[in-house]
Amino acid sequence: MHAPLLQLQHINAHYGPIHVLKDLSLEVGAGEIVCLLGGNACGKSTTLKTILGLVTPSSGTIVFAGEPITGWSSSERIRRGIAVVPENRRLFGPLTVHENLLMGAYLRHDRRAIDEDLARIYARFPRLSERAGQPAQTLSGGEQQMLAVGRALMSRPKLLLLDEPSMGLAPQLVEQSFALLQMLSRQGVAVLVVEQNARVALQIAQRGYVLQTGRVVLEGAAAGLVANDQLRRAYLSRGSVIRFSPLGHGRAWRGHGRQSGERR
Amino acid sequence: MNTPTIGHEEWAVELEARRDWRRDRWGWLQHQARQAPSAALVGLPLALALALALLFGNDYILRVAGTACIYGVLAMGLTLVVGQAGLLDLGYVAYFGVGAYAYALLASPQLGLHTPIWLALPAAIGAAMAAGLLLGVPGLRLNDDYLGIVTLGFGQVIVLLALKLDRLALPWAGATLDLTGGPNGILGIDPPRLLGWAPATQGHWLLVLAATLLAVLALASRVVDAPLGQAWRALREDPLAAAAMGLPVTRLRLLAVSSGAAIAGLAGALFAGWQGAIFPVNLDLSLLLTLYAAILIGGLGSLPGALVGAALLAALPEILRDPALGRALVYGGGALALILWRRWPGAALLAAGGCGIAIAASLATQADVTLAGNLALVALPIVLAALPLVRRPWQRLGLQAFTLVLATFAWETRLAAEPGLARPLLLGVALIAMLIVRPHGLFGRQRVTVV
Ligand SMILES: Nc1ncnc2c1ncn2[C@@H]1O[C@H](COP(=O)(O)OP(=O)(O)OP(=O)(O)O)[C@@H](O)[C@H]1O
Ligand SMILES: [Mg+2]
Repeated sequence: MHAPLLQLQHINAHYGPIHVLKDLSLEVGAGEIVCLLGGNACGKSTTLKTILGLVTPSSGTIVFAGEPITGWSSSERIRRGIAVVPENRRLFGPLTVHENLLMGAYLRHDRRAIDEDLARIYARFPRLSERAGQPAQTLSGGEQQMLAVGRALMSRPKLLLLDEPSMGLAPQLVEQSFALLQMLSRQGVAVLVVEQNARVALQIAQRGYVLQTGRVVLEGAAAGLVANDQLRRAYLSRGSVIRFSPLGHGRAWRGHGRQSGERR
Repeated sequence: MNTPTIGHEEWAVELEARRDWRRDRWGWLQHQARQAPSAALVGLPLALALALALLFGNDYILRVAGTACIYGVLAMGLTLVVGQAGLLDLGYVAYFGVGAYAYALLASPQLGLHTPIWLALPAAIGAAMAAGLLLGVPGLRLNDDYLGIVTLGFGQVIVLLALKLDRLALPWAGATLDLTGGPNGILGIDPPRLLGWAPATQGHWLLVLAATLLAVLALASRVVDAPLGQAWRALREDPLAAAAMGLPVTRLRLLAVSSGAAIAGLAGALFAGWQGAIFPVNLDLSLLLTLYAAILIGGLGSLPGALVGAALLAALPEILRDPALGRALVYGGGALALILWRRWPGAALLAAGGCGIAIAASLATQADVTLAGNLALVALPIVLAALPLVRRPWQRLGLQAFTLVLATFAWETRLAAEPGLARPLLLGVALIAMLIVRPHGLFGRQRVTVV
């Protein structure tokens, strides 16, 4: 077992009167891939924002790399090695691809190492280097996803948070970006990935958590979760949208509900 | 900006070169030379205009050029705040006022202080920055429109203070103090004297103002290209994403507001020293509108754009003051605009014809044409509004011709004689035309709309 890199202990979070995270505890080990599953509005994005310091929990502690970071600012956390690929990617549209990457390294001052990291990222995503001088908003969805991941990697994170990275991507691209996550984790970067596409997420993750209305209702090794009947019920009990089918072949969600691309 | 546009292999090769220029002096020089063209693009015309003004200009021309410099400095500061950092600051002129009044108080008979320039100027800039921070700290929590409203109010408060602080009660001394001179302003402000030299002629002043302009341009363009400028633009686009990347949002915003305020304060101090006087009317809303027009025409966020816009707005009213020049500008510009915009040389012919008819008509009657001119002015917007509604080609052509005749008639009978009315009107028309033809301004980057 890895030493836990990140620990959330009994986190509660509110938006005004709304109680969003309820006594949430989770762990991510160094170099581990963990996925966070759950239906709409159950607090997955809020969990990531809490880890990043964009939402202040009302109680509970967050420990990162052995230090309690609960009261820290986002900048300090990012400097310590947390990076995020936000929901919908949130690139800086009119800024060039190159400038977007530089924004990911804003807190770093080692210009030489930054240049090397840029070169590495351009080598990994040749498409981005072709588009380096182009406004980010002119990229295709897949290229934008590459850029969002590249931007996050520019801060040399120990822990990478991803909020629905597969949104709006063709299946092949989803596979590709998940393969990239596996490679990162082999290089020692821990990954916490929020996904609606549970089937694919559970393929690459070592462990998973299932959230329901802000509470962890299920957790365990990925293999166990895939086989778990309760996981289906956790989703089905939300009643409305069936977004995945861990056992079947995805027929259940294809025709129903909203397409994932249409949310903003 | 040296962003790669090519494959990553080339970029990796360039990496070595990029390192070199940071390492040794020669590389640094080469790097500067590579960046020269964009600087030359702005610098050369500027230097040329300056030289022409200094060689051939009379005091009047020099004065206009000086005003253009002050506008230019102010517009650059404003475009940093509004264009780069995306903060809608409608109180910008207040910082100009604070700088001007601070300098005036420190270097005039008003309080009997004659502080040397190396103290008074930094103090004026500092006061303006303090005003910026005073407003910035509580204001930056607000969203765009609210920030705009709050800063607009703040700007007016400063004008009110300038008006009312001529009878400041000092209860402990049992007297009142005339701090700002009220509507009469502060007179007899010292010119900046450095090493025994003070600008004495308009030519000297133009040199001082142009040097300031260049210094601010150099500094501001450094900042725009630096990580700070990138961070401002990122913040403007998406504050939440910027925060998620660890950008210190509040600090960046405060930095933007206070840099803008410092530049405005500098401009204010120089303006006060140049005029030798400062009045509350110098801070009225029209200056704010002029500056916003300048940065919008030039392209939001662009420094060369801000300069060109400022020069246009400083020069245009003066050109329109002279009826002959004004006429040439209106007809020439109108015909050119029609040719360029509608790509229709016929329109230019029509314009010329219409102009001839109108002049002939007004000369032939010799009667009281004011009433007719007023009618034409009223009819003009109606006809303009009707234009898009008419579809049949011939009717359309007729209406277009009629519009042109009406416009020239209105111009000849009313506007040419009254520059006070004509100037804002023409400026408004030019701005609207600008927004239609080139919404991102002369030098602004076009925002690509992704659909
Ligand atoms: N800034 C906010 N202010 C108030 N309520 C919020 C805010 N952000 C999120 N919420 C609410 O908190 C709840 C959880 O939101 P969150 O974004 O964490 O959901 P999620 O699990 O990421 O959902 P999805 O899968 O749709 O992205 C939702 O009911 C949402 O309406
Ligand atoms: Mg979400």
